[in-house]
Amino acid sequence: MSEPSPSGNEGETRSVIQENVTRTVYVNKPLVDTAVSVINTSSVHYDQSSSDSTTICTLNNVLPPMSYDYQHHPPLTSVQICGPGVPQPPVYGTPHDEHQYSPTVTGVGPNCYMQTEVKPNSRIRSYESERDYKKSACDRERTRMRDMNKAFDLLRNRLPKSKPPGKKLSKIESLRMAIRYIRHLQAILEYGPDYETKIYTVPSCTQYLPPPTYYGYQPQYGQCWNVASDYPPNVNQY
Amino acid sequence: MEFDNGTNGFQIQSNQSTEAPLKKRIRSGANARERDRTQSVNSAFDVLRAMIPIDPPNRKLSKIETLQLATKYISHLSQILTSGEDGEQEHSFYDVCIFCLTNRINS
Repeated sequence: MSEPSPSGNEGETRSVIQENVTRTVYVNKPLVDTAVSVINTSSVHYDQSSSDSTTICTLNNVLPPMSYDYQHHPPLTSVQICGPGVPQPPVYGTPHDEHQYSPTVTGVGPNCYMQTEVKPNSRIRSYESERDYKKSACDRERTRMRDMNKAFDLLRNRLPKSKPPGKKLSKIESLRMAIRYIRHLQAILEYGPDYETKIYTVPSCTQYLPPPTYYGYQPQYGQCWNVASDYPPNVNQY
Repeated sequence: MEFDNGTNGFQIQSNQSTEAPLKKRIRSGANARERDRTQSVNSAFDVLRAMIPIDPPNRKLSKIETLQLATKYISHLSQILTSGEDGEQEHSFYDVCIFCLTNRINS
């Protein structure tokens, strides 16, 4: 994770200054002596390297960047608008709440409190034209979509392999599979390993139906798919 | 010299009076399908959102947050399953699993 520091090119008047925001969360609980978690967010990149099951889910790499917009309330003297008659781009206020830990969170028990402290850096932004503003809006949207697609990919990696090796789950498929898989894991935790045999028992009314065709591969009756290694080598011939 | 706008007696779809409403119908059909598709994706996001334990419970996660937290939650559940429920500890002073923390806050 990058150290929090304001970075920008003060020399250029048209460049975009990125902001790094540091938030410090203090949690005071009797069970945990002092757990201090420092959230470093950068406006462009977040930690995506942790995707194996041994990684602790930390606050560092869970929340997305604070905002894809820019927040600034500059004094009038520091705003640089180039050219006469240039339409002024909208001033962004505080970022949309959905990207931000609410500073009013006060914990849910008498034994704990959470205190967040937001230290935004002020930024100066100037556009030479409406076109530049729209271009940066497009860039932001493109970055946002790219990050979301990466998040989808990370989710897909965690789900069991359920498609032929060349294909991957679509967005809606991966969402539904994630829902199904989380329910499955929770049920195993709740009901114990016997849960497995209960749900895979074939009820008698469907006993004589042919097994379902799956991408041209006919599984043996009663077999259920679990991992990609269950597919025989000739499954690609379709 | 043409008497029939060059269609040689055949008039298929080139009449101006039928072209615009047809295109409008096609567009509105595609719009409705895209709307339905988006709605189904959003409702799947809502269901996934409801399954993730979060503190405070009424905080609405954005789409990207639900994706990331769902990924982490699946890791967390797998970790519990493989190591047993009392097995997880904080590994270092500064890293805390937020789902372990959420469990403790809520219990």
